[in-house]
Amino acid sequence: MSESLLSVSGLTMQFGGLRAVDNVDFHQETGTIVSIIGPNGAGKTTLFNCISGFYEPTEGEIHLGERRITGLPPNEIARAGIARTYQNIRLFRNMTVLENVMLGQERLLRTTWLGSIFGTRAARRETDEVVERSHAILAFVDLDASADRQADELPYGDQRRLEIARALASEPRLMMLDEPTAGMNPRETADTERLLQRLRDERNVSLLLIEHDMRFVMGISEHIMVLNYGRTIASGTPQEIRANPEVIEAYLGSSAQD
Amino acid sequence: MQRLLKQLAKPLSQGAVAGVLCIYIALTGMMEAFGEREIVMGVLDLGKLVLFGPFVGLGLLLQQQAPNRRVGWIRVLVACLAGMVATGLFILFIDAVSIRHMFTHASPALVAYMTMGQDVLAAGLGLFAVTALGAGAVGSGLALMPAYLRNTIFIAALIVVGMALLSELISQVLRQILNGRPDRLLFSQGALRPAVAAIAVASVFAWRGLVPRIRLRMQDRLPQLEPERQRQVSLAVRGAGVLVLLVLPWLVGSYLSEVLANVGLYLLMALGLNIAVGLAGLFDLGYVTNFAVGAYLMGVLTNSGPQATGEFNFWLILPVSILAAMFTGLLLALPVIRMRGDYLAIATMGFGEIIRLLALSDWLAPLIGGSQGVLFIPKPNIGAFTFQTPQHLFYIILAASLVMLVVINRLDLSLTGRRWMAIRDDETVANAIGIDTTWIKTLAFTLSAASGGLAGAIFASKLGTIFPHSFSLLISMNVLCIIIVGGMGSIRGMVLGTLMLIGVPELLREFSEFRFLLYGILLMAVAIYRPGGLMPARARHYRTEPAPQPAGGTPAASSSAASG
Amino acid sequence: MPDRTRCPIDGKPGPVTAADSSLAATLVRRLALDRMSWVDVVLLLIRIGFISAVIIGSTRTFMEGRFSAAQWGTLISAGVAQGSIYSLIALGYTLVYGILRLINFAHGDVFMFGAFCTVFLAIWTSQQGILERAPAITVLSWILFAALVSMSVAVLVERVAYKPLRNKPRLVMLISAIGASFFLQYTARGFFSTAFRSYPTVPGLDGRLELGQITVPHVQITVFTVALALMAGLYILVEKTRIGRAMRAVSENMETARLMGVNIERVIMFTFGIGGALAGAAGVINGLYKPQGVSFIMGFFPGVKAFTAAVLGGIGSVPGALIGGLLLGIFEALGPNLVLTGLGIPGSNQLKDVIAFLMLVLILIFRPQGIMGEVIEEEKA
Repeated sequence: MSESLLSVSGLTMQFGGLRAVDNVDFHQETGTIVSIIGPNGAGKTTLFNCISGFYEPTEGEIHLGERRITGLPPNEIARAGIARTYQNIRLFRNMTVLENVMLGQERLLRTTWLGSIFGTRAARRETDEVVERSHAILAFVDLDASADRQADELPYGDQRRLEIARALASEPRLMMLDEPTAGMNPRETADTERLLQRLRDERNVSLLLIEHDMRFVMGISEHIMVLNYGRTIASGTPQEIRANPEVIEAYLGSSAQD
Repeated sequence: MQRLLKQLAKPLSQGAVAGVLCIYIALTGMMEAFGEREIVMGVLDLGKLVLFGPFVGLGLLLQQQAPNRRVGWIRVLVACLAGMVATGLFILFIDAVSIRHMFTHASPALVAYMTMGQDVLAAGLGLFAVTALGAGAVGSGLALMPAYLRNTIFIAALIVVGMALLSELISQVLRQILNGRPDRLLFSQGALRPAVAAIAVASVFAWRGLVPRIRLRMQDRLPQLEPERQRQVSLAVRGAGVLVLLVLPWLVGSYLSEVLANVGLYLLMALGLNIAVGLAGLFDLGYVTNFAVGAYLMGVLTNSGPQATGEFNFWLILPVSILAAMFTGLLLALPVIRMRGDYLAIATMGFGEIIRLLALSDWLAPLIGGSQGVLFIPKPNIGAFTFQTPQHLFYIILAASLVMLVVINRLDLSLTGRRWMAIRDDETVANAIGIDTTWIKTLAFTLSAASGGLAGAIFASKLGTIFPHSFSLLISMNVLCIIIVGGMGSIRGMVLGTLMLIGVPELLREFSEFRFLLYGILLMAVAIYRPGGLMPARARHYRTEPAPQPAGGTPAASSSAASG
Repeated sequence: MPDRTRCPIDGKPGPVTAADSSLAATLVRRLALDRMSWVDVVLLLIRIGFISAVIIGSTRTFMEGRFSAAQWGTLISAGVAQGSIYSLIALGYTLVYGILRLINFAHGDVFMFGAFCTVFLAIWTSQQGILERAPAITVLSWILFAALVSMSVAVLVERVAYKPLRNKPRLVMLISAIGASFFLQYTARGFFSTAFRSYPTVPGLDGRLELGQITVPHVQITVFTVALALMAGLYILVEKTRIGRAMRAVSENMETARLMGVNIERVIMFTFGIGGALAGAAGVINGLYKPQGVSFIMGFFPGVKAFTAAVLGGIGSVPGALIGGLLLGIFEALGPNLVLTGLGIPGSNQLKDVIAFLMLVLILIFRPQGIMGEVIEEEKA
C-alpha cells in the first residue's frame, strides 16, 4: 500500500493582478515519478517555488507526509526532505564538484561552528564521513573522476548531473527536477532517463518533474499533471493525458515553440 | 599618405598616452619625491625610473606586438617621439608659464629635474630626448631577446630596486648580526653602491644559468618522499619559520619591530574581515567599528587617566574586548543581514562613520573622552614583567596572529566554512539546500568581529593613548585593500597583502603621500585584471584517511577506477 | 525578494485541523505572527526605538519653546539650499544606478574635482576684476567650466574603471569604484596640495531677503534656483529627447534596448557625462554656499549624503532624487535642534553627520526602494 508523500490543495500564488498559480490541487505517492507539463509561462516553476519555499503561497496548503509545510522558509523545507534542481543550472560555481555534493548533505549535518573552530573529533569525523558519502554519490552519477574540478569547468551535461547529485546528497524524500533534460541531445536525454529511474529504484527517491520533452515525460512518468495559465487542465496517467482533448488543444497552440 | 597616417595612428596615440602618464607623474609630485631616492649611487634614482619607465614599456609593448622587426622599430620610434614631444612641450610650458598657484609641483625644480640639471634648457631637453629614445630602444631590445634572458634581466632589476628600497631593513639586520657598520659596504645613504649592484646582477645571471638543472632534480625528488617524510619536512619548515619569527624583533631593532607590530595588527584584522568578505562574500566597509570597540573597551577599563574606570588588568580585559566586539558585530549585523551586497557595503560604512562621530562627540565624552581621547593606558604585564618596548609587544601580537591563523585555517576547511562559501556563491540555493542563511551570515559577522576587537585591544595598550581619529574609514579601507589585493578567501593572500600594503609603505615613509594613490590604482587593476587577487584562494581538497573498505564506491576504489 | 520571514517560532506545524480556521489562528496568520523571526524582532525594536526618540525629542523641544518660528524658518531655508545641492549630486548616482546597477563610489570625487579645478578659475576671474564687472555671467562660466571638468572626469572614470568590467559581478565593480575614488582624491591632493581654497565672494550674493520674520540669504536663493533650473533641464532631456528615451529604455531593460538598436555604450557614456556635469555644477554652487572652501577630501560627505538622498527618493528615479535631496537637507538641518536637543544631548550640532548616516542606514534597512522607487526584485529560480 503506497502512502501519501506530497499533497497540495487549493494552492494559489498571486503577483499583483496575475494569478501565476490558480487553485491547484494534486497528490503524489511515495516512490512515484510525477511530471508537470504545460506551455511556457503556465506557472510550473512558480509552483515549484511555492513548494520549495521561495514564495509564500497566497492561498492553499502544502503537506509533506503528515507535516504541513505551507510557507516554511526554504531551509526548513529542505530539512523536511525536499531537494530540488533549477531550470537554469545553479551550482556553487567557484567551489569544487566534491564541495557541491558535500554542501548538499546540509540537512544531515550536526557540526556546529564551535566544532569547526576547535576542530573537535566529532567535527573531523563528520567531515570525513561527508567526504566519503560525497564520493559515493559522485560515483553513483559517474562524476567521481571530476571530484576536484571546479564546478563551472564541467561540461553542460555533467553540470546537470552534478546538480542532481547535490540534491541526492541530502537523501531527500522528494526530489523536484526543473527541466532536467533542457538543452540535452537525445543521447544525454536517454542517459538522464536511466539515471532518474535508477534514482527511484536504487535510492528510493520520489521524483516530481517539470519537463518539455514529451517522449521523455510519457516514458518515465506514472502520473502527469497539465498546467495552463496557472490552472490544472488535466491530470492522469500518460495514456489518459495523451487522449485528453483539452491537452491537445492547449499544446496545439504552443507546439510551434517545442 | 593616408595609409601611412592610419598605420601610425596607434603608436602615436600610445606614445601620447605614455607622455600624459609622465606628465601626470610629474604633476602629482611623484617624480620629484621619487627623485630624492637613489637606487644605484650616482647612476639611477627612482624618479628617473618612473620618468623613463613608460618609454621602456612603450618599446617593449610595441615591439612585441609588431609583425616584424622593421615595423616594430618604426612604431617604437614614432611612439617615443610622440611621448617625447608631449613631455617636452609640458616642460617648455611650465618653464615659460608659472602654474604653481594651481599645480603645486609644477616648479622650476621639476623642470630642472626633468632636464637633468642642465643649465641651458635646450641642452636639457636634448638630453631628455636622447635618454627617452634610449629607453625606448632598451624596451625594444628586451622584446627581441629570448624570454629566459628577458626574465633574468627583470629579476635582476627587481632585486636591485628591491635591495635599494629595503636598504633600511637590510642595514639594520646586518648591523645587528655583525659588528661595526657592515651596511656601509653595501649602501651609501640608502642607495646601492655601483659595485654592489653589479655583483647583485652578476649573481642573478649566474644563478639563473645554473638553477634550472638543480631545480629539475629537486622536483624529481620531492614527490618521491613518503607521506610520513613529507609531513616531517613540512613540520620542520614550519618550526624554522616560527623560530625566525621569534628572533625577528631582535634582528630588526626597535623601529622595525614597531613596523612588524603594525603589520601583525593589520594581519589580525585582515584575517577577521576575510571571514565576512572572503569566505561569506559579505562586503563589510565598517570593519573599523570592531577595532574601535576593542580599543575603547581596553582603553576605558584599564587606563589611569581622566577616564579611569576600574583600572583593570590587560589580560582580564582582553577577552572582554573580544566578546564586546563580537556582541557589537552581532548587533550591527542583525539589521543589515537581509540587505543586498552593495547596499550592505554602504550601510556598514555608515555604521563605521557613526561610531567614529559618536566617539568624537561631546555627548559621550564623559565616558570615552571625546576628541581628548583616552590617555594613560598601561602596557600589558605578567607579574613584574611589563611588555614595554615594541620588541616585547611584538610577541603578544605574534601569539595572537598565530592563534588566529590556526583558527581561521580550521574554519576555512570546515563545514562551517563551506556554508559561508555557499552563501557567497549563491545565497538563494544555499538557503534551499537547508542552510539557515540568516544565522550563518550573522555568525560570519560575529566571528569576523572577534579578530578586529582583539587587534583593537592590543592596539590601545600598545599605543598607550587612543583618539577618535585613529578609527577613520581609512582603516576599514586598508583592511579591505589587503583582502582584495591579497586574494579574497586566501590566507596566504592575507599575509602577502599585509606585508605589501602595510609593511612596505612603513619602510618607505617618505612616499606616504602617494600611498593611497597607489592603493586606488592597485584596487582598479586587481578588479580588472586579477579579480581573485595576487594570491587567489586555492580550491580546497579533501582527503579522507586511507581506511581500506571492501564495499564498492569508496574513495580509493572510485579514484583508481577513474585513473584507469 | 518578497518581504517574507524566515524562521517560524512554531517549527512543527501539524496537519490541518479545525483549529486552523479559528479566529485566533486567523489573527496569527493575518499578522504573520507565526512567521516572526528574531531578526524581525530586532528590526521592530529598532523601528519603535527610533520613532519614539523622534517623537519624544521633538515634542519636548516644542513644549519648551526653545526656538522661535523665525529660527525654524532659517533652519528650513538653509536645509532646502543644502538639500538642493544634494539633489544635484544624487542625480548622478540615480542615473548611473538605473543603467548599470552600480553605486558609483567615485561620484563624490567627481564633484570634488569639478569644484577644485574651478576654484582656480574663480580666483583668477576675481583677481582680474571680471567677477566685479559681470558677476552673473562669470558665475555661469564657472558652472559651465566645472560641468565640463567633472563631465570629462566622470567619462574617464567610466572608461578606465567600469567599462572593462561590464557583466562582471556587482561587487567587483564596487571594488573598482572604491579604487577610482581613492585615485581621484589622491590625484587632486598631488596636483593641488592639501590646502583649502575658497571661492571669492560674489557681489550681490552676500545680501539677505526679508520675508516677514524670516530672513533668507541671497546665496541660498541662488543655490536653490540654479539647482532647480539644472534639474528642470535634465528632466526635459530625459523625457523629451532621443538620447533621453534611449537612457530610459536601457534602464528599463538593457537587453531589450540592445535588440531595439540602442547603442548601449553611447548611452552609458552619456549618462556618466550628464551625471558628472550636474555634479560639477553642484561643486560650484556648493563653493558659493560654503565659505570654508574646497579640498581634496571634500567629496566624501556630500557624496555619501547624496547617495542617501538618491536611495531615499527611490534610486533610479529622477524626481525622487530631487525630493530625497530636499528631505535630507531639511532633516539634517532640523534634526539636531528638533530631536537631539529635546533628548538633552549636548553638542547636538556635532551630530549633524550622525543624523545623515543614521538616515542612510535606516533607509537602507527599512525602505531600500525609497519613496518613489519600485522594488528591484532578484530573480529566484
